[in-house]
Amino acid sequence: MNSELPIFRVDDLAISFGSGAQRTRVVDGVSFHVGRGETLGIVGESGCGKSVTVMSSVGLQPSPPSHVDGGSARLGDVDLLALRPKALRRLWGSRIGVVFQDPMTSLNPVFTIGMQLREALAAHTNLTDAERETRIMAMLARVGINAPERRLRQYPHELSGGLRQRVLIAMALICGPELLIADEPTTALDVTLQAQILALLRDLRDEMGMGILFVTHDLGVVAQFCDRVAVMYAGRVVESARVDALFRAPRHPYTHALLASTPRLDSDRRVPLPTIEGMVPPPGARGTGCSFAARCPRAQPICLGTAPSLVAGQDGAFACHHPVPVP
Amino acid sequence: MRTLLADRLAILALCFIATIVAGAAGAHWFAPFPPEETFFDGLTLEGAPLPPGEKYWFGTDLLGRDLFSRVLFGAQTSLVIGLVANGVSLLIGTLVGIVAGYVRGWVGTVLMRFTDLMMAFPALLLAIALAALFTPSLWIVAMVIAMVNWVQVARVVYSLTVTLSEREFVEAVRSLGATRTRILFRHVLPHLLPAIIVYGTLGIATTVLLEATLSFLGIGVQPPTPSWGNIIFENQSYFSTAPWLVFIPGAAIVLLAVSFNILGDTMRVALDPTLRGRTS
Repeated sequence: MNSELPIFRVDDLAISFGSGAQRTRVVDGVSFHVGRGETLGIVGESGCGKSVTVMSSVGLQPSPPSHVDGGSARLGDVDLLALRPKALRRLWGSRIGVVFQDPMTSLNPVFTIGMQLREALAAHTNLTDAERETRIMAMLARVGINAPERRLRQYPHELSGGLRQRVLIAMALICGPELLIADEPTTALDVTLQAQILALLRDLRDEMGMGILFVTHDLGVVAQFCDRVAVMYAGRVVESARVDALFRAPRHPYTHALLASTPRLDSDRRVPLPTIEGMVPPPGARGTGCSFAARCPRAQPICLGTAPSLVAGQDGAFACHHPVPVP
Repeated sequence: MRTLLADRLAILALCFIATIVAGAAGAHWFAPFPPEETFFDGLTLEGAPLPPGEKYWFGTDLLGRDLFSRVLFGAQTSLVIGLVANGVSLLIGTLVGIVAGYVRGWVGTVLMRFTDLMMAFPALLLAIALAALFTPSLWIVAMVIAMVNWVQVARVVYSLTVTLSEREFVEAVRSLGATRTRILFRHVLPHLLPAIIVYGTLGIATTVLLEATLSFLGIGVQPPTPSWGNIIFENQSYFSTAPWLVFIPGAAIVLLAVSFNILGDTMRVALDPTLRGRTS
């Protein structure tokens, strides 16, 4: 879990949607990096741009309607944003694996599990049929699917949600990618399965040494599963830190408020859970100041006028003029 | 029980189609008379066509020709029109629709606006214009019908492809590095097959009737070559006195269309893996 050698590094990424007069910046100046065997959590509420950021950084976000306006995304020494579609496609599935949110809809209902796994391998390798079958069997067994020979002949609708998510993980990892993108992989699963899938992903990460970009809105999952975390708000990273530091001493008022509104076992049930007043400003209505200022209890006149930039502290970085003091 | 019934119907439909195909292919051997020969005893003394009887099984038409022979030879024309014209229009429509639906952008816009243009253009007028350019023959007529009919298929396939390409499994295959062609023809196309099959089987009746219309206007299959459509049109003025002249080829068209429909429906069910598991 060393972060000194990032395998994936995104710098100053800016993304907009639409064209002409309707063109709106939705993600602005986002930077992050993932090391070998490391998990970076990207958290934020719905619509803050976390999925768009991650999908655009590996070229999977369809364009149009989205446009990458600037920045770079380097996998090893390749800038993904400068690659031609054909070259990008060769990386998808081989060096970059993706696990999607909903296992119910991410498998093609008209093909058997075996056919879909073969597809994943066939796109990037020239194995013989026998070699391919052994590799598929080994992978299925590795992700904890019992009776793999039988599963291979089954259709997605014959499998439970947990099994399907395991199949999707097998598909994403079968070519041994360096970077795994997990876009809310556990949101559609119940809590028990969620824990199992997370444990599986952690084991596979330690074994195969890939970096994981983990997109989620669940802070509990982040605390369990991630090494570092980047908190996004209205298209920007407002705070990034090691997980223990972030949970112990959040510096940005947004992170602070998010953590305060998370229910805990030891919280007093008679006191209502704190909420964050107001709404996320829609893209296009974000002024020159800090986009959280309107909802921030610590806001000062300066917050409305100039947007703070991300400054590195001792445990991480935050973008705030008046950070929450370390307790 | 329901599947058994459906299977029996499907077998019946298949038998009917096979009979028609065999009859058309072997018309030279099966037909009791040449289809274009007019018989002196084929009309009554007043000049009216004969009803179905011992010598002329399906009766005779207004010129005293044997209707049974004409229906057999007409099957050749109608099958070619129904299968070839329909097949070509399905092929064009599917290709245009799937490409426009998946690629979208300016390619999709150009393709679909062209489709709209073709749709807005009166089909018959277009067919007449096309038929005027080329000398009418069976194959030309089939192509003309295909050119007119692909538009609806393209529309249906387009809208289905648009919804399908938003589905997550398409995104998932894309993230595995599959090429565009592969995604379209291996992952999206199977989902379109049910709609295409249903449309194709419905189209058989439409194309056979369109051919009849063209024949009626004199730009279809040229008389005296029979087709089911032009038999009906030639004889329609005798409908009240000699109903069999319209009824028999009409029934042939309806039965053929229904048979293809049943067959298509059975195929659609057989192709669906979620339904396959239930029956066994």
